[in-house]
Amino acid sequence: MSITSKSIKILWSNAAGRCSFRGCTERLSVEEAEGVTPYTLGEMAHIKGNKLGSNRYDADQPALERDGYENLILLCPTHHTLIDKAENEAEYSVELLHEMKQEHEEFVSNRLQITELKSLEQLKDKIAPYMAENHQVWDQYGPMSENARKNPNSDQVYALWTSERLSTIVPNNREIKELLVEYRALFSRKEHRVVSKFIKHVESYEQWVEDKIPYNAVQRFPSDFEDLILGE
Amino acid sequence: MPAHNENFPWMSYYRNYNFFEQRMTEHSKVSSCQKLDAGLYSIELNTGKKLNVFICECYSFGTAEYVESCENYGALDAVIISSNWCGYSLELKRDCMADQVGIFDIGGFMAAINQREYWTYLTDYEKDKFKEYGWS
Repeated sequence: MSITSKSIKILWSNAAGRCSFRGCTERLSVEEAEGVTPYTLGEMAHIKGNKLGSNRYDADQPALERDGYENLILLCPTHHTLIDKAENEAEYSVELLHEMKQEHEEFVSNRLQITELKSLEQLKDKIAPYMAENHQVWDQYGPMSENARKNPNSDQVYALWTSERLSTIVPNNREIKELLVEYRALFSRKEHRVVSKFIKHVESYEQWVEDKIPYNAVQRFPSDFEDLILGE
Repeated sequence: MPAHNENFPWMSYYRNYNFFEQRMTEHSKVSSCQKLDAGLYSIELNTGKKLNVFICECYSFGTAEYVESCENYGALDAVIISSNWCGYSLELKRDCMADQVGIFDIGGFMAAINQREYWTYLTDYEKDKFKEYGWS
């Protein structure tokens, strides 16, 4: 068995490309990939060890579960080494690692929920930085970028795009969608159509990134949503 | 959505496929590589078989784009989607395989022409997907 690309994508996007070790949150970069395929970035540590003799190894664990998303935690190289040192096995138990993973994923998905929003303008102000960040990534590494046009066969530049898509675009989209769902009532009747279109875009884009649907089933990014959020 | 050009033949930014041509001239199973038109090549294999190969940078190459390509360039033996940012639909790949036409990225085509029935070549990812969809 090996870790499936689906597990890698879910793990990477849920952790927003950051180390899940308590108190770390270091951004994992493509440089760590060292020429390997785009999706095998960062350090995907096994919570229950993947081979006999490794820390937290469970002989009764089925092979499929061993390499599944549930048994993986995204870590920086330092913390991956730390939890896998034989003398640290008792300190970094299965339970503690699950706890850290859950905490980190909750931290990622709750980044925005700081104060209650009372107006549409406040909502737009919250969403705009996430859209700006996504746009920057798209502009720099996306299919229409100068990088993609001028280096169509570069595995390294393409790896940057796949990495950014999982660690920036997907988590940011989730944040925006959550805000839209929670504060939907702030939009006018006329605006609901474009909000729905954007939510559908977010959902289908993520399904495509995770290989669940083909690209032609993805709702394209609705540019009128950008006008709605960024327009005066 | 195109990676660079909107319309057929969805040419690359530099309007050439030097990377592909270089790979073809270095390939042990290729005896010649002749450019016939924009993105259209005649690749002669060591076996003497000549392949009409179309290469493009269409962002999402599906059935409509394949039909358009054949309308412009006639029957094709293989289509190569050049850019890493671009892709093709697996349904198209499956359908074309039935007609002995191969749909690949550059790496896939390089590997495929090592085998006689080159159009049947699948990457590991495609093998998994075909299995998942019950196509093989």
